[in-house]
Amino acid sequence: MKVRKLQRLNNAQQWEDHGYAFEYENGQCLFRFNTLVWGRIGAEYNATMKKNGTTLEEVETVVLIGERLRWLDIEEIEGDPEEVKAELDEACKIPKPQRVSMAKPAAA
Amino acid sequence: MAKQHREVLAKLDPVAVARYQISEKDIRAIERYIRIIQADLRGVSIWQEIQDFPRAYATSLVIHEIVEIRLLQARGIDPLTLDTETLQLTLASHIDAHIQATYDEHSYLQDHIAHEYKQLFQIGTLLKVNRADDLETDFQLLLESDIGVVLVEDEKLEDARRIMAELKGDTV
Repeated sequence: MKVRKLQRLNNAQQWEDHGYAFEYENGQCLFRFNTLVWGRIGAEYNATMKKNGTTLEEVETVVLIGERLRWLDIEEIEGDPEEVKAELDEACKIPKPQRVSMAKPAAA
Repeated sequence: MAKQHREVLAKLDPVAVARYQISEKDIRAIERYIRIIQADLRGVSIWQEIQDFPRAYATSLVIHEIVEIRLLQARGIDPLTLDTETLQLTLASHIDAHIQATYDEHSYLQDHIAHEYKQLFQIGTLLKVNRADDLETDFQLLLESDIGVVLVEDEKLEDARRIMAELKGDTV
């Protein structure tokens, strides 16, 4: 699977995986992001990339980042795509759907 | 800056402002909160969107942020004093706050659309069209939570998409 990692400079001044973009077999490119940080902005970027047919090479022209983030070069990762994505999600600390007990609403 | 906050508060849906008791101080907190959590992003931010989008849609974004902030504060966390990385990790440990915020955001949109457009959509339907993203991250988080049954009305997706676009001020 072709992947481009997005890294962030953490408080220890080390680059760590923060997100990634990957390419489906049909060439469609998607940005996998932490919704707690990117929220609807990340989803909008994906909609834009789908609409424009953005490639992995072009992803930084859509997903705009500051100086504490950096896009790495494209890499080819061998293995089952779902397993690869699961490992990348883990490395990027992307929250995965899980049974969550809900708090009380905050409305007055 | 205070003027900017007053202007945002003034443009919000007064029904939601009363229900959530949103004050100018809350708007300031929301701006600060977004600036921390999205410090590394460039281009548009949620804060910019709150200022730019029309009343109802901007209100839904404000509800999301204030619910998230208040849930963290209710647990003794002051998210406005944290740095970006710490806030992200804190939120990950309190993911229910994000899910509840997403639910409230779309619950407001549901009520607003029912009132203004006389059409009732399930929250799942609205979330699906509002996060126009094949990965459906927020939808999956809501689906797996115990917040309730999340239904999607496939036959209503197009109508929901059209109304959501109108709420965002899209003319196409």
